[in-house]
Amino acid sequence: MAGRGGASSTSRALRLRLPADLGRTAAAVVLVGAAYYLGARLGLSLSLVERNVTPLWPPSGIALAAFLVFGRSMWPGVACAALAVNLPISTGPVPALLTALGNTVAPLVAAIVLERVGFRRQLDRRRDALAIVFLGALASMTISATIGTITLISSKAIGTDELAGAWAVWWTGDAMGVLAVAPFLLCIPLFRELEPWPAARWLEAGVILVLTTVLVAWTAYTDLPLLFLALPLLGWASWRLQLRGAAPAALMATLIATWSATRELGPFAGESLLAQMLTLQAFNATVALTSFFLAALVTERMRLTRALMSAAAELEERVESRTAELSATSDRLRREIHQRYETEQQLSLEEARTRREHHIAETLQRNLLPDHMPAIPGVAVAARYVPATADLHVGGDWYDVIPLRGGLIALVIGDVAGHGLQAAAAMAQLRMAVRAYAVHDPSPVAVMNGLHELVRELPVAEMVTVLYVLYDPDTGTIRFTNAGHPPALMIDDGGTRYLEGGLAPPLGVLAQRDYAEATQQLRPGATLLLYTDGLVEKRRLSIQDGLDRLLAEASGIGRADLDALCDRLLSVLPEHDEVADDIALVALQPLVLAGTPLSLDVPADAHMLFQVRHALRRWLRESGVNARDAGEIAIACGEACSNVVRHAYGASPGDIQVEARLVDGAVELTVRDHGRWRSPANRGGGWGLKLIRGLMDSVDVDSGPQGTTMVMRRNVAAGNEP
Amino acid sequence: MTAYAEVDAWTSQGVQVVRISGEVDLTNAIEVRDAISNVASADATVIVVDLSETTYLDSSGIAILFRLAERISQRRQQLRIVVPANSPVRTALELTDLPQTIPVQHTLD
Repeated sequence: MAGRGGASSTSRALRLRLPADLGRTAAAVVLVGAAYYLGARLGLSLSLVERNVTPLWPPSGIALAAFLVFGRSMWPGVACAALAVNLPISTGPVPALLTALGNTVAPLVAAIVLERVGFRRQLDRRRDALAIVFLGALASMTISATIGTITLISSKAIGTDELAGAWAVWWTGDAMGVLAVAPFLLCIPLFRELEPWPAARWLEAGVILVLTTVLVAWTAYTDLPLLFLALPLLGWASWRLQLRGAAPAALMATLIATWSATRELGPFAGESLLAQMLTLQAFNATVALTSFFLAALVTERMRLTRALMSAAAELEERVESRTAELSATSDRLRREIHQRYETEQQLSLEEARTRREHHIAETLQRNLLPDHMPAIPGVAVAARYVPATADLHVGGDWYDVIPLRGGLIALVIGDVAGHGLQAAAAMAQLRMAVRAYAVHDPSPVAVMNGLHELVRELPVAEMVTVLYVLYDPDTGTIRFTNAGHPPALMIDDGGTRYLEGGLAPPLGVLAQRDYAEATQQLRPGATLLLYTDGLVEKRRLSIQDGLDRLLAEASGIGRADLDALCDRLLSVLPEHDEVADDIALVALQPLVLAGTPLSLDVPADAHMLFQVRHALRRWLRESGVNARDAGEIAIACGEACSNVVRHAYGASPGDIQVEARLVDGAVELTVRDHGRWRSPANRGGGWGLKLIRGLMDSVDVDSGPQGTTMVMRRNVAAGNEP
Repeated sequence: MTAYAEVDAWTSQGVQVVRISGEVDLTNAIEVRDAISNVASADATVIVVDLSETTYLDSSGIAILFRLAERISQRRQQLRIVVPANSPVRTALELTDLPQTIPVQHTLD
């Protein structure tokens, strides 16, 4: 496209711009004047009538071409040259001046009119050909013809009767001068302005010119009226070379024909002046019109063809580039689709693996955590574990409730940083380790020291947070140590608060160990809640905000069943759509025993004896029974239960129901089983029943096939003094 | 040593003291007996079983004290039992014949 810019630039009006250099303009003026003068001499040599009336007046064409190419500022050259030409052939200076004026004004008017109508000196449109013929030549030259003939008559150079003939000759001469010479001169700059001709063109132009010269010269010499034979040659020139080929050939044809007419040769021989003029001017006009019309027509068509070709080429180029773009886009799309497909495949594989691992970790986690809470008479315990829903965020949290000797209960919650199978495995080890350490020495500091050493030995790079609480139901105190874990929450009559103290960095962070314990009362009915950070960590909340929310929620719930408390917290605190991190909860609440009868139902197992007598002791203590009475009732209860354990069920499992109530200042203790008693062994030395009877005020035994019920009463004194 | 009870022993002025701390019931009576046998020196002329720290003692515990008394008398050693006046196990002990066979005192002194 860019390479074809010339096509459009050639259709633009061309105008040689002379530099605003006065010297060069003056030189041009002189040059134009000289050319005008020489053209005039040539024209005069071709005159038919008087010496100043010629059938071809080249200066008018020269002047018009000069005005069109160099501008109207060339008029002084034209005027001076015209005066110089006319002075010697006129009857005086005045007629010469007038004639020169006409000779100057006519081409000047022609140039102005042509510029007005948008004439282009490339003569490449039909309208340009028409304009130069009719406006530039025929119309404008009436001015010079009129002024010239009037001057001739007024200066008595010719008679009035010769007016019409002289005017006609003058007019046709000027007009033919314009038609023959102006196009030729106008085509000269085109050799520089339009695309240059190749050698073949030059050769062709030369051949046409020579052929035209020879042919016209021959036809102008021979008697036969064959001047029209020049037309095919001119047509050839116009067709093949346009203005640049046609104008020189036309000029040549016109010059030769005119010269022939002035010499009265060939077809002009023996004819009248009028016939000669008619023949010559008709020939010249035909030559000019034919050449320039045809040239303009061909140029126009060529331009159209070129524009069409350029448009077609451009279209083709655009189609090609568009096609290339489309195919590139299509390739890219195909590539992208393929990549996306591969990525999706990979993702779904990954996802499947992640889901499987998540499932394994969750199953592992669930199996590693206690599947049920130990039944501890007099103490309610609840726990929850909610695995993370998101990817692999499952595995590190654990909780535990460990009944220990002396009725102590250890409550543990911990979090191994990290997720997945590795964290779950580490968690399992730590959970068992806590149990082992606690059995060995249940004090919080001892357990933490053990864990500290263990975590340093374990191949777990992660840190571990643990909160260990040791509850003594007999004294109602808790002792705890917190290694980097969120603080336990205490809910009791005094309000809801976090338990401070006993703090230490997470396990595995520091090399040295420096654990301390804190102590707190845990009254009957109070709730102690341990949890992992999943409960208080939310994406858009700080931990502190999470803790505040938990505190507010727990305060709002107030005193409630532990299961209800756990469920409520889990329904409110975590985000509903997904649990980002595991949540483990464990809560403990010493039941309020005073004021209501004690009712226990435990397996008939020797290991439950301890739990039963401790629950009973607590109940007695909280019911205001003094320590001595309480101790002795406990022994009686223990004997009764021991008998059930030893004799009621044999090897099969069974249960012991223990009830205690205060009736009119007496404790009524009922021990019931659903077994069949075998003969009592001698293991207790037979002291069992004797002790019961000795320690209690009354004993009733009701034994049947459905089991045995022993009801014991003892009057008690109130007061806690020992 | 056992789930609820600990046994420790020391000699003071030729007297072998065995202290039972905690609770003794069906589940740990045998272990407590064995522990006492292990720590009680055969050389001491007097063996004192200190129940000041014993918070629970049922018939199975009392039974082991009888057995212990038998064994010790066979070895010509002397057994004494210390039970404070306010001990929760005192009444139970007194309900048996134990105080008739073994001297019971309130304190170690």
